[in-house]
Amino acid sequence: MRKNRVMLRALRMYNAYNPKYFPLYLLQIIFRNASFYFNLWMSAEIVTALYEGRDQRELFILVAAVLMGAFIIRAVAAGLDRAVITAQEILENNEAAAFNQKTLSLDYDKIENPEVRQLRRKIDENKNINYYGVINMRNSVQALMDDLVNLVFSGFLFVEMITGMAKVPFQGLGLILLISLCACQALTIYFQFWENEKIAASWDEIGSMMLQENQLSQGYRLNGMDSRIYLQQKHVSKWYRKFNEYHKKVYSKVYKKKFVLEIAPKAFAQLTELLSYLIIICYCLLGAFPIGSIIKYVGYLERALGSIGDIFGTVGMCKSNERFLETYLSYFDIRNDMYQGSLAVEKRSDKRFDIEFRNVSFRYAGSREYALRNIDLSLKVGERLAVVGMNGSGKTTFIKLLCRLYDPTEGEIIMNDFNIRKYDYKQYLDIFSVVFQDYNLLAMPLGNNVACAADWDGEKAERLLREVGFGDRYEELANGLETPIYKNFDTDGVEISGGEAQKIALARALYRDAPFIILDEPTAALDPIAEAEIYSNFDRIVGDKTAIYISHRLSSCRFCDKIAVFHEGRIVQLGTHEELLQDAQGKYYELWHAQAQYYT
Amino acid sequence: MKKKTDGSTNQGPGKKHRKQDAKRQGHGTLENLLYWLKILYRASPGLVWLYGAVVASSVALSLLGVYMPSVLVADIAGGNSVERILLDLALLGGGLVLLNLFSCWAERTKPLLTKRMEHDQVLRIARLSLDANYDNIERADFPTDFWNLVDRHMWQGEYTSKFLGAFASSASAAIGMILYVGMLSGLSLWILLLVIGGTAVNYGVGIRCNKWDAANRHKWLVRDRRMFYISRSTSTYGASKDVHIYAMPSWLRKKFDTELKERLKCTVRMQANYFLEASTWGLTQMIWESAAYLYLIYLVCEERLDAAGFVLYFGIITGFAVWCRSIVSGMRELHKSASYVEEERRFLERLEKGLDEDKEELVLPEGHVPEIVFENVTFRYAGADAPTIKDLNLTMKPGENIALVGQNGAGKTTFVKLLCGFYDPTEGRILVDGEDRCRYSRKSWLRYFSGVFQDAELLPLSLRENLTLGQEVEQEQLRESLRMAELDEKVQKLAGKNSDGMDVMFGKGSYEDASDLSGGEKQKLMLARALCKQAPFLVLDEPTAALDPLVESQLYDRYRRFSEGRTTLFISHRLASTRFCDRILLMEDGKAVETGTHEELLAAEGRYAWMFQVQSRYYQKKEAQKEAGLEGEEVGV
Repeated sequence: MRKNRVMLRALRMYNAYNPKYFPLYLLQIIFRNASFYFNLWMSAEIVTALYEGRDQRELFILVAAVLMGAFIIRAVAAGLDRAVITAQEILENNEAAAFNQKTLSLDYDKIENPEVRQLRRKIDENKNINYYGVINMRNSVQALMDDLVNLVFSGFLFVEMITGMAKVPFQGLGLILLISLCACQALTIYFQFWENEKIAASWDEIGSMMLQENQLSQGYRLNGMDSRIYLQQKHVSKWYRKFNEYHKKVYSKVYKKKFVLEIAPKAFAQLTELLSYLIIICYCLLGAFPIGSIIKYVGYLERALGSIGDIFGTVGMCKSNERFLETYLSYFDIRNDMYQGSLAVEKRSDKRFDIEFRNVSFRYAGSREYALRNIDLSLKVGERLAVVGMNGSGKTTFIKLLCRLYDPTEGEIIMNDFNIRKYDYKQYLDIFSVVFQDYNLLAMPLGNNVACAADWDGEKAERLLREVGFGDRYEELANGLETPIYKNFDTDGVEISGGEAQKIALARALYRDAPFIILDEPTAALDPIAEAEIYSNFDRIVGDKTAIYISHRLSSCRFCDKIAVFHEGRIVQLGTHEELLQDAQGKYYELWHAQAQYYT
Repeated sequence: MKKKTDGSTNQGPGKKHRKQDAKRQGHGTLENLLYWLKILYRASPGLVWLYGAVVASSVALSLLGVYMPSVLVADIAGGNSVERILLDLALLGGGLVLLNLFSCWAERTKPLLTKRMEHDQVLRIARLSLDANYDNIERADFPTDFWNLVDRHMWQGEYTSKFLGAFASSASAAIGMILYVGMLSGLSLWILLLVIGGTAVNYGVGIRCNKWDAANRHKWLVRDRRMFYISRSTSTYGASKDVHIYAMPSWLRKKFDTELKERLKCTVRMQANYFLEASTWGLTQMIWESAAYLYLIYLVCEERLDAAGFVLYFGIITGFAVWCRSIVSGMRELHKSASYVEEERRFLERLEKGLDEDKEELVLPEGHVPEIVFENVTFRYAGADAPTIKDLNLTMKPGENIALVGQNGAGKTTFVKLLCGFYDPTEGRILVDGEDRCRYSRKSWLRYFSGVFQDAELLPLSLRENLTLGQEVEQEQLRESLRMAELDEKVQKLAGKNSDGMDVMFGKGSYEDASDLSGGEKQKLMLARALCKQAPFLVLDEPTAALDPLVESQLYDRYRRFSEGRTTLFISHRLASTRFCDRILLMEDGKAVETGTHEELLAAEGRYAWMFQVQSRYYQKKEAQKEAGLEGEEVGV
């Protein structure tokens, strides 16, 4: 019962991506079948008419009618074929978009959650490698439609055939033949089931192998300098050899098994076909129907029996697909459990947002160790805070908590007297501009990238790009803000260096004009001059915003009001540059001198 | 097909395209087909024979399909004995069963043979790409072209199963046509000519569709790729933070929908073409079918044909038409295959052009570090107006540690590429122990390099493989490299107690239990990799950008140790790094403007001194220059 609901729910959801698709498909099947049976029926009519020796005029009219009819049906069927393909494209793309939309609507901690990632990848694998999941469901529904329509259409032939058979007196032989036909058909179906089951198991193996195959081919980037220097020919060959061996082991085994498995149902299907020939001939000899009908009824039996077999096969397929559908649906069932407050974030022109960390600790999901421990810190409006510390000391995690990408495991973060959880999430996010260390620009026009929206304010974007030092390059761009970044899709796109990308990311953060600006290593790829430009313009760029600046280049601490030194997840020191340097035992002193020794 | 950038595509499949197609075509269709068939036959004769056998069996199957009903109808109509009927049924039916089982076996055997071959082909392309001229690889369209080829080889079967399949179906159709013509002897051949004529018309329409596709494919392929990008890449590991913070989902969806709309415009147009094609087929089919009916009915009325004959001949004519149709589609497939072969040939030829296999192999004695001299080296990128490197002179003495500094865009990376042999100088020479480097093959030259490069990434492989990349490296050497790069503790942490950590897998998104490294740790790993490879030349391009001050400083302290016995080139925006190098080279605008030791250059009070000043003043004691001074000072170039 519950299982049925899974399929029904998935089908309803899938259908909504393009409600026209399945009706169109049904219509197409109807016309395809109409075309086939029309031909079958009409050619038999013509042969019979010939036998009966009807006059030529009548024959010609019959032929003309048959051919015209066939043409019209074919033309409509062809039109429907094309409509179905178009509809399918819409369906598939909307499905992909909806899936992505779901991903994007998840809380950040869900998006990055290893289990969710794994689920997402699993669904992807099912879809792309084994064609399980909604794709399989679509194929099954289509197959069912095919077979049912076929059976309905051939209904009249069935009635015709049965009445013909009933005309002749009861024959023991006929009965025996009929029974063996049914037995053969049953065996075919049985073996098909058996085969399906075995093959589904081997697909798991093949699927994982194909995944590896894909990874291997994706694994090396031939256009990187490092691949030239390290991946010389023989190493690539070695990989392939290793892979070929693996391939031989798995692929060969599975395919040989498949052949063995396929033999039985195939053989029985052939036997069934021969039997149907025998039956029809037998009844024909008995005078149940005219000779002209032999082709018709044999053709009918072949198709009808095939359809019946297929229906069973499809039902079996649906059953084995159910768990994949469940996996698929479970992704849509993931609920965001981050508390969503409703408190509106005031739009304050004075940007008065004071934030305070109160004894905040944090542990990543699935990790036993704390990434942050007992953080107490308050941020005053307009303040510049520098965050320093060694690799892995929790600096970036601190930022993620501040932006509420994650909620603290313990403790609370307060903004203007309220826990940040109480605020409307979207509005809360709106008060932050962040340049992450591993920021990402999209292969889209520059304007889109700076504005992060479909439209942009050209003047503002241009001004900001100049402010962050992108001006010279900007002048070179023929299409200005319309210029796509990267050459992924557009030959008129431009490749940008790491330094330029960093500047664009900075402009993007500024374009948002949020009260908080957070910069995580924003100058790592910049040369000393460009870096100094950013430094000296920092106050102007940041204006009255509250700023947090993370950098391994401690020079940046000089223009910040306050420095927080992170070490192993704790804030070990907090104060101004001068204060912190007083403490010769402190971490800051150590870090500072490690770097400054080279510059004095 | 290659993308076209001119606007002519709007004019539809006009003459212009045909002309361009002809111009682009390097080899004839037939030549390409035979060329590839030869390659396949050499790689796996068994597979080609198998397809041959499939041809024979499919012709036989079709013949049986026509004969069986007619023989049975004749048996019954002629009042033959039941035994005779049963015998016929058993013979014909038995043949049918055997042939079907054979084709079932063939279907299963094909993938076994093809898969292996597909791997070999991809390997061939990959190896050639690794050997080819680097500027070939750097072309913006290289990755797309490369992955298209790999995709067609590995996943689409365009060069194996589809190629041979097209051959097989064309061949069986041709044989079938000849046989059927033979069977029809005695009847008018006009009917067959009519069928052939109709087929030719269809072929023409089909080719037009193909051409339209080929000329316009790039339009929708780019939309597809964009949609894929939007629906996938934006939720990947790297991008999701930005997408989240900057509230991008809604406009990304909008963008997606716009792309989809444009894509559908193409689809509708393409489908309209195919509809036209199908209708043409329907129309011609109607014409020859009516001719066949009229003719056969006429024969029956004239009593030159009985009912069984009618069934047989109509079956043969219909079968003939089916062969015609399959020869058309087979030829269209072949046409397409030939264009794919052409694409591959052009791709490979381009790669092969810069191959220098005939060049001498450079073999350095163990432990020998040669001297490198840049002699008036100028380098200009293909298609660029101005040279990127201008008249550069430099001698790198064996074992020297050189620091290369300069602003973004000064030509540092290009210099590295020249040094490593990725590019050959446009003018001037690079001498290795007095010999022109261009004498030696690139591959043998690269063997002596190791380094950390800016765009390096982790491969979805184990730690060991990431470090050694297939080379034989001793365990102790691996450990030592990790220690030098300050990564041993992290590895131990990832590995747990009972393992040395060498089998830790990377590649999040590829493997379920993959480990991940932070930016700084990745950089350490790259350094460890560089140290694993014991090469006389070590190039470090920004190896410390993501490292914290302590590790950075430790690395500087160790620099002497791991640069021992090698010539090193250290590129960094951190000018501190220049202190422990023997010599500093300051590049500006493609020229080496200053060279000397740190002290010398400071004393010279030139560009380097200024740059150092700019960077170091933030580290100076807070004196008069503080605050106001810092902000007020002019930094512009």
